[in-house]
Amino acid sequence: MRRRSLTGPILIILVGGAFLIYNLRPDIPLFDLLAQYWPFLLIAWGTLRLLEVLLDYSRGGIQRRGFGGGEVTLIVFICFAGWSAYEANRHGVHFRPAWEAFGEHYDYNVSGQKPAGPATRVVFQNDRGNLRIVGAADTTDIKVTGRKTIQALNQGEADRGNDSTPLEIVVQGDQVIVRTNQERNPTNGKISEDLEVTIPARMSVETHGNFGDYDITDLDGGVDLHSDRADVRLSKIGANARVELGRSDLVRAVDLKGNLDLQGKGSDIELENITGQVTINGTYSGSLEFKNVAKPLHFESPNTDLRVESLPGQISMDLGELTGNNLVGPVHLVTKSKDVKIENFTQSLELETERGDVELEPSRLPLAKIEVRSQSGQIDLVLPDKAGFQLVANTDHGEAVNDFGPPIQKETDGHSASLKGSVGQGPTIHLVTGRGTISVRKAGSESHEPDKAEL
Amino acid sequence: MNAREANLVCAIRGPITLITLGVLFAADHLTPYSFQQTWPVLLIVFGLLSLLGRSARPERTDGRAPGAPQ
Repeated sequence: MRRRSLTGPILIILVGGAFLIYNLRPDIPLFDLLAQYWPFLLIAWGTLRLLEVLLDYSRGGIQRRGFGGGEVTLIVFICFAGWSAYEANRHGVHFRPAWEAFGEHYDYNVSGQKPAGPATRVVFQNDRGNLRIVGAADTTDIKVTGRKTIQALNQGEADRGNDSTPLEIVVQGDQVIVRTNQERNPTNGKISEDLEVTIPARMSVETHGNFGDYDITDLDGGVDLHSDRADVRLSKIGANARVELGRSDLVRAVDLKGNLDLQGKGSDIELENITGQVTINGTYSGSLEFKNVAKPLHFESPNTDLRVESLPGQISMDLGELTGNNLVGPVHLVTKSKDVKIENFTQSLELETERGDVELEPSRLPLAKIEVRSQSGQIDLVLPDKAGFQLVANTDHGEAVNDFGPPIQKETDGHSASLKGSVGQGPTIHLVTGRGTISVRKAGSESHEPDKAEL
Repeated sequence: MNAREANLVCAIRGPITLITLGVLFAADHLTPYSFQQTWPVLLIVFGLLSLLGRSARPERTDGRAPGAPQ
């Protein structure tokens, strides 16, 4: 007799388990996790079927032959649903299952006030909800106002939720703790609190939350933010800022006097007027804008490593492109797949890319030392008319174009081409690409297409 | 190789493909390697499984395709 596979029952158990977790721990972002980790379902399923087959084999007979039509349909459906969920999640759509719409939302006002005394730090513990913090020079109190939203089936349940989750402001040593006690909610419904807080500007801020945005402004003290999911907006912060986020759609910091240390996954970053050092470590899929950073900037992601000594100008970056203007070197950029365009840089530039075109236009003299290595993509170097430099450029498969005339010698050999020579006195410029045109042009001249005769 | 092993190779084909698919999707979501880059691995796995199936299958002696109804 043909034995039935274990896969069906185990799938039912898993689905039941997922619903159970969701009901018991609504704070776990289960659907976001599923959107991320669903491929492991396929792996587990395949492993299970493999084990069944091997077990049958060791017992002497193989009865099952491959997947049935229903199973294949289900697999295709899971792939389709999982992929759509992942893509939607990545673009900022978050899944709230339909049954969460049951029940009503009940609103309550929240407020509290307490003198900060000699405390130097405010710690916010607000699991869900947005937090807007403003520093004021003329106050000595911590003042909180806001709104609590409780999801419940009826007013009684909502009231019970409200009573068991009071806002507390507690002074502990040199810190003041502001907590919303959302974890004490005895009912199943979600609670979220949007708070507006005024604190003495001299204080520093620390936050811990799961879900909700932070908007912090006018502080002399530092900022230390931790959240699983948050958008962050910082402006006029007088000391160091440390931001650790599980996920974000936007992190913006403007007028920051200290260092910025940003870690996490997310989409967009906007930085402007940062007096301290900037360190960013994470995966960001949106558009990144850095403007006017006075000290070293270091951006590190799985695909890109960028260091500049300081940035009087700006750098814009997204998944496929990096443009920069007015960078103080040494500039170091290693990237996998980006078109790179940099104008005006000093000291030295070291650039390494796997795929993508490179366009460099240093317009100030003396020139910076330049070293570019590309596996595939054209390299276009535009130099001022009077620039002095020593050039070694080579392409394994492509054309070489030279605007500087006889001082630069061109050699071609099969598919490869090279340019070599010195113009006046100056730093070394070293350009190498595996595939693509290399051109060295004079500023102001028209974009030089390779001669048709050479093709 | 005997018919029993040929059956085994045939039976593990589905699960192995499914695991590969899962690993590629997981790599897409959790590592920089996207599915657009790694899909050829599926072809390679298909190819390897067919090779394995061919070496496990009994030699054709009667002119009929192996596995065809007797």
